[in-house]
Amino acid sequence: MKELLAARDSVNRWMERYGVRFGVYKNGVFNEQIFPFDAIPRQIPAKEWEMLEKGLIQRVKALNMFLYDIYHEKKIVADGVIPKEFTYESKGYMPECEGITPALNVYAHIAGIDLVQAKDGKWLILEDNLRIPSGASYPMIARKVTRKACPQTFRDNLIADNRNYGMLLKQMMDDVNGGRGINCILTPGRYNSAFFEHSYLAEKTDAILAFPGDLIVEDNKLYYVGLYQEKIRVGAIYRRVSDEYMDPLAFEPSSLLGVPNLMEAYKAGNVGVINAFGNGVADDKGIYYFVPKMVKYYLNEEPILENAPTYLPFFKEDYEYILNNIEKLVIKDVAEAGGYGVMFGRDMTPERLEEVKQLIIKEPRRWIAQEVIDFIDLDIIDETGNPSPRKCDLRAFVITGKETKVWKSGLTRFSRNPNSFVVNSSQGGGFKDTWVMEKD
Amino acid sequence: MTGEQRRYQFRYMTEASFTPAVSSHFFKLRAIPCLNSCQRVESRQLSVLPSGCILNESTDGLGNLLQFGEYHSPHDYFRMTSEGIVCCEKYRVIDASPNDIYLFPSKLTRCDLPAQEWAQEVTKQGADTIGKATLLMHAIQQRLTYQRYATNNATSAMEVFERGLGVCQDYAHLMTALCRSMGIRARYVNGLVLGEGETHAWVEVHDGAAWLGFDPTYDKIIDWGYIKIAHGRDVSDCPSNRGQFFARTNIEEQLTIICEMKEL
Amino acid sequence: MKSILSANKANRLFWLGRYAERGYIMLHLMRKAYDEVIDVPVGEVPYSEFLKKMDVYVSNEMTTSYQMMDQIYNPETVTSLRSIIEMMMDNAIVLRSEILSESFSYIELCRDLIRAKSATRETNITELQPITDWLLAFWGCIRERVHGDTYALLEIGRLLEHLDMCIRFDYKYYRIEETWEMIQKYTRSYPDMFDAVQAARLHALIIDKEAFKKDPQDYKNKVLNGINCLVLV
Repeated sequence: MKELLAARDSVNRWMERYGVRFGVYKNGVFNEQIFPFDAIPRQIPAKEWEMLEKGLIQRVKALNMFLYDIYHEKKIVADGVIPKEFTYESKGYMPECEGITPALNVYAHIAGIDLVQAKDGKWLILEDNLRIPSGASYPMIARKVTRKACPQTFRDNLIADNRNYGMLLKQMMDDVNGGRGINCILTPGRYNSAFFEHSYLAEKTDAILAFPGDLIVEDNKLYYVGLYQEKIRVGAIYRRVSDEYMDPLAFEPSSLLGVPNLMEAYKAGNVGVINAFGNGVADDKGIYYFVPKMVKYYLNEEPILENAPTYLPFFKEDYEYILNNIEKLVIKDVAEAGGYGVMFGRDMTPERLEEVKQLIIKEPRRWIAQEVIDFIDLDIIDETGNPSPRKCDLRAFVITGKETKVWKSGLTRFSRNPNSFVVNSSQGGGFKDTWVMEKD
Repeated sequence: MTGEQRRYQFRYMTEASFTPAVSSHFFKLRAIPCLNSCQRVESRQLSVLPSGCILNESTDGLGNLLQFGEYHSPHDYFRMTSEGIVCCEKYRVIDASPNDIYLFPSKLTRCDLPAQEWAQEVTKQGADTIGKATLLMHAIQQRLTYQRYATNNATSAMEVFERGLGVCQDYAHLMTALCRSMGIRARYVNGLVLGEGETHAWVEVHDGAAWLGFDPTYDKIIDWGYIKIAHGRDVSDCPSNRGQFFARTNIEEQLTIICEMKEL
Repeated sequence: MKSILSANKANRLFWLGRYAERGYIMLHLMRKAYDEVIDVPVGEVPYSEFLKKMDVYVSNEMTTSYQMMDQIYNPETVTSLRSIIEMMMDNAIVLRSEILSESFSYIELCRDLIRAKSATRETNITELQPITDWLLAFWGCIRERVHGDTYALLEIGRLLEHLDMCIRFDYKYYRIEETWEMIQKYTRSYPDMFDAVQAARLHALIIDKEAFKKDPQDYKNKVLNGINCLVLV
């Protein structure tokens, strides 16, 4: 640990040198910021990881089965496990995806599952991110530079190497591609907040980084347009652009980021899209409540990982509980992400509480409520150079191609303020490396 | 099909002209009459110009026929002509397991509380689904005034409800939204209608066994004279024509639509 | 070897090559200019020769020393070293997966240093020596790791800028000739990247040693023009 702390400046210099940044718009002006890195890693013992790994694989398998089901037979709805409202009314449900079977039957190739560890040591799932979860590049590059700066630390500790994320991704992309063409990563452009990640992952997966306008669908196949106007067939596209902007003829007509008729090429099975279209229906904060039920329904197994205690105002019993206990709950808007639309009852004035109650009464389907979990603090080194506790979560990355694998690391994010529970990078937090230990 | 049948000849053409010419162009059309228990297509032909357009066919997620493709040389117009002969029975689309998505609001068919209460009020005499839908249709006819250019493709049912103005699409959106708010499965339909020179929109309501046609614009339960092309939760699920073209400068686009339909 | 590149990336590789070379030579010439100023007799205008060659209008309102600082640090001055390095970065940032993070990092280092020194308006130019070192390291890294069209485009950019600077700063004729010979290797192996007509015209202009001797200014203008029309990407 001493070596890590001593090497803090050197590690940060290396990170700057590699251009590890994320973009932020403030008042319409684009700025690149350092994603603050804290030298003290989160350590997960081997035994604990083994349990997490199993639980995560189980959860992602069930989520993929749910996505297949919802766009095909819809058995889980017919059998009354999930109410209709939670699927068809969800913003993430896309009727365009009805009946489409993606390559390998996989929808969520890259799942970013957010967990927290409660004070009693128990891990709880906070959120599933099945559309375009970001953040893996940061611990990847942090590890690369920390190993340079602190070789002894890595010699002395048996830490699972996490620099294989590129290989995991590449293997998955090749599985999805099936030899039809090249692999591409599509970025919305250099002014996207995660552009560093897009370009770094392209480098580490040997994929071509494509920009809007580089791709074209011709005769129902996707191509990358080369320097001499030659057309190079694309077999799999890892797109970092949201569904609705991906094909102006199928979705948002005004989109300039998309590729006209991509949806048709995808539907015809001529190109693999990573992650698949329509995944939003499964990572909706409302559907989250039902994921443990999915595990039982599809896999006939007990869920290994539990959700944080959650209430749905949609159900009468929960509705009353929420209205009576709102001051101690967290209220979340199901349609929001990235730490937006999250309200803590205890921080609200009585007037505001009343307003929120009215919102819930008006649109019960739009909200969920959760108990505030007293999750563990991890120490960071603060501005004064002293250890200081912060709330931390963990985003685990689960990759599914022919097989489902969990990346032996993850993005540990911490809140900027000691009192805050919100750890999203868009809200000013920082990150730590996550060490999965090879031995207990 | 076993009952009484009537045959219709149709021709549906859209033409877009570009000034100056565009360099390439992608399109996606829903322009061919669909097949169902009361509508059979005897013959059909879809042609697109300029010649040399790549044309493919598929089905969208809701079961509508799609034609899509592209053209990569400079051109100053694009014309699609769909023509043929359709054989219809009295309008009733048998569907024993209707999709549940037609029970829930979509982007353009959300329904607020006052509208919901209004729908309850005007249909309280209705004995069953069809009775309620019919009363609702009458009430919508009373409430709305047909007016062109007051609305557009993004106008929601609630805006129509409040402002009271619109065209067939808006009538259909409002009726769809209100039906769903009462737990009645309803969907938005577009197609051709006898005696109109453009495409039309109406509503299908599911009575437990089949989809019945309601035309709120004409306050009419549909029997004959309608050729169905596509359906969806609202117009954005089944637009009849979408295109994207590429050009170096600003393009002025002019659109002409011609629909012809006659009984044989 | 063919690399998979879009037209836009090809264009950025070419300009990255040009800007990296321009930054390198400019800094070299600036150091030279600073050295010469030590011996400038009292009453003469320092740096005027350098500024003239950079097409900077030497005004009476500002001192040339001040203008020289502008040529190093002012981000609003398009010809300044700062601007050149910002442009380098602007091109490099979308090319990480083509040039790889190791090469990219040297550009990043240059950018961070020039920004830091701009903030303090560092007057001792030797403080900028790391930029020279990093640019050399950048090219070394490129030679080690980058191949095919990707390498060719960077190198074409570098050589053309080198030619441009040789002519602009009155280098000896043999330097021009040498650089042109190297460029011709690429016009032969990558004919699709060049305008053949312009290449032939430029060739005729450059090898005309008599014209170079007779009217250096006219020769200079014509060749500099020709350089900008040569590459198609």
